[in-house]
Amino acid sequence: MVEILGRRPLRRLGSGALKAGLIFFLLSASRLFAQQGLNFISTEVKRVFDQAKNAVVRIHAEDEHGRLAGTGFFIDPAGTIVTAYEVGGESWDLIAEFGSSRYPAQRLVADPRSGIALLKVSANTPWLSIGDSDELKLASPVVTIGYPMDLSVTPSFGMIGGFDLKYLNQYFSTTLIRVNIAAQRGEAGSPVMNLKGEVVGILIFPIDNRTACYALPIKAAEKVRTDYVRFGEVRPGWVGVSVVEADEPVRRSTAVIQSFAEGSPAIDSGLQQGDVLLRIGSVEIRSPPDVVNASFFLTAEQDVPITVLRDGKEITVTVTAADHPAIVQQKFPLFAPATLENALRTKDRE
Amino acid sequence: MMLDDQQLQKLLRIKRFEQPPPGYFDRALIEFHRRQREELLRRSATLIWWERFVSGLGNFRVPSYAYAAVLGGFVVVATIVGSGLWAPYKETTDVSTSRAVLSGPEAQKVAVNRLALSGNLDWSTFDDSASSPKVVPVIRPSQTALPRYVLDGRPVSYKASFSF
Amino acid sequence: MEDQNLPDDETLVRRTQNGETRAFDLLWQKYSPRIYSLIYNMTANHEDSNDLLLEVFAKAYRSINGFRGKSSFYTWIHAIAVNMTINFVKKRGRRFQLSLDDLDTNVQNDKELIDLAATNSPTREVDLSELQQRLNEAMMKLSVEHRAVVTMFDIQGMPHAEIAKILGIPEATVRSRLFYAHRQLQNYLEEFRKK
Repeated sequence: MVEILGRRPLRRLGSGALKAGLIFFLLSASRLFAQQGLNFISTEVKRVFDQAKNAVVRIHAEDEHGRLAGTGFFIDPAGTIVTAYEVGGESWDLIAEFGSSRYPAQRLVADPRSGIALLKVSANTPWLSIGDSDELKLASPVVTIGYPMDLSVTPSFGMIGGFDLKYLNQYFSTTLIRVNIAAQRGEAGSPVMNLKGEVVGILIFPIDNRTACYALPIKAAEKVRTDYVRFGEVRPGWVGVSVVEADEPVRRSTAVIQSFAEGSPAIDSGLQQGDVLLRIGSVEIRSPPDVVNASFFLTAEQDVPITVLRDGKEITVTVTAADHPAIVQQKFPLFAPATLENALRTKDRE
Repeated sequence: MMLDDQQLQKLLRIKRFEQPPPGYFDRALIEFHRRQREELLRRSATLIWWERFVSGLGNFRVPSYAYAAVLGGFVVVATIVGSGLWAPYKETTDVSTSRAVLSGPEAQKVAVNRLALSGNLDWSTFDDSASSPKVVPVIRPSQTALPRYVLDGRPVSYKASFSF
Repeated sequence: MEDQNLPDDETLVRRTQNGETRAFDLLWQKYSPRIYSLIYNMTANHEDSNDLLLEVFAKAYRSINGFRGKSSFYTWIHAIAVNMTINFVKKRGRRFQLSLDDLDTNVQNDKELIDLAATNSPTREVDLSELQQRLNEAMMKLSVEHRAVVTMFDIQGMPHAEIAKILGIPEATVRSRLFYAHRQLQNYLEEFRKK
């Protein structure tokens, strides 16, 4: 054969065969690895699911449009449930169903601004531990567990698609986590968990024909719970500062104090018009939208350290927040209240 | 000069006397009855009965000695039937056939309905402590009326006026 | 307002549960004016108040079989009314129409209050009806939850404990809400006076 083909063609043939063999091997190996990878994901999801599913409940309730059903989950062994405002915020005859048990639930607090409600049943319950929503990053893997339609408890797996303060020119009251999971009806209130099985968010509403959805970070939900424990209700704080955008960033920030509201704690606080905001409480400010988040985490009667830049110098003043004026509060709920129109709508009006 | 608390209270007290025109409440009562009749016509009679029944179940108070009594009764009956002294059911000896009859979602639905209609509570979940609320019995809702499954919030848009 | 010949609430509820519609009519007669007043002061709109009044009693009638007498009927029907009204107002949003014209303002002319209206403004006369109008506007600037406690405590004269039971919140929260609401009202009224 060598005599007929000559040495060069054989070497080419040989190296070609080698290449083909290598490619074939890699393809098979990667398919094997991929399968392993997918199996691994499946195992992880199953693990989180088995561990957490007993703490996730179906919520039944009634409102003026009739009966409704959604999802919620326990966050302590005493039967405290977190669910979406849409499910448990304004409805009555609340019932939590888990396993074969159905318990009447009492509403502790409902906060349309954050989009959640806290309920309580009188029972010893399994519960989900709280994770750190600040640790989440783009493409972090998450698992949700919910009760879609009239089906049994179901896991879903997906990735964090982003962190948004607004969607299609509509602002939220705090940064929400966008999750690339096609949540189904009935899953509002589902816990969003990291692979450690800790809750990092709560499914609130869908976007784009339910192909993805937004979740409230658990940190924001904790603010609601802490307020409830301290005051029996949510008490958003208010300082009274209006912010405008500067053309050029000053020390990384383009948020400039424009004015103070009449009678607000900001007046006589030491802050001045023209100050560049760097930090409000524990929230770093880089641009005016960051102020929205800072505002969400303020609590009435809280002493808020505010750091600004004035004439090149960093100044920190402490202001005691007041109760957010009722009229402003009413303007900033997280989402429009449930209407029959919303419920029957199959396509988003976008 | 601001109104003090007492003056404010007096001003508010006056609002107590703001009343609708005379005869309003009698007319409204007539309207109330009209709406009740309309509701009766719109919804089927069974549905209303069901609703009344469910809310009436909450009224059902089970004294603690009743459990002991029923449990005791059950033990007695089980002993009698188990020992073969009494066979209330003429069942076929073919176990597989009878099992086929009793299995499947059909049978489960029948069993649950029987449970519901007899008013038995799900005792495994009953909490006898005085402070806890009544446990809701396991009742399957009517197949024709599914609840609204919720995942339909929408964010409210507001002007991007940044303030805190 | 109390009719001496009227049987007590417990009896009327029991009779309603037994199917006696007439007994429920008597409960309506007894409670509808005060429930209407509660609703109206929270909504400031007659049409809405009328609808809500009918809804509240319809809900009470539908669920009367489940009423176990754990609380009084008084507390129970007030709780239904407050909750339904709060839900309604929240859904409706901020569109409010003061429709005072179809009310028969049967005001008791409190002499002290007339004096108050006259002496409280050094620069111009504020007559009683204008002050009342201002108060109504100020009320509507409160959140619906704050309006609820002001209506129950200040207007209807309910004790803190009763309000706490009706709303299902601690008594301390009732007090703090009232404190905040009174301050807000005083501020708003002061604002108007300045104009």
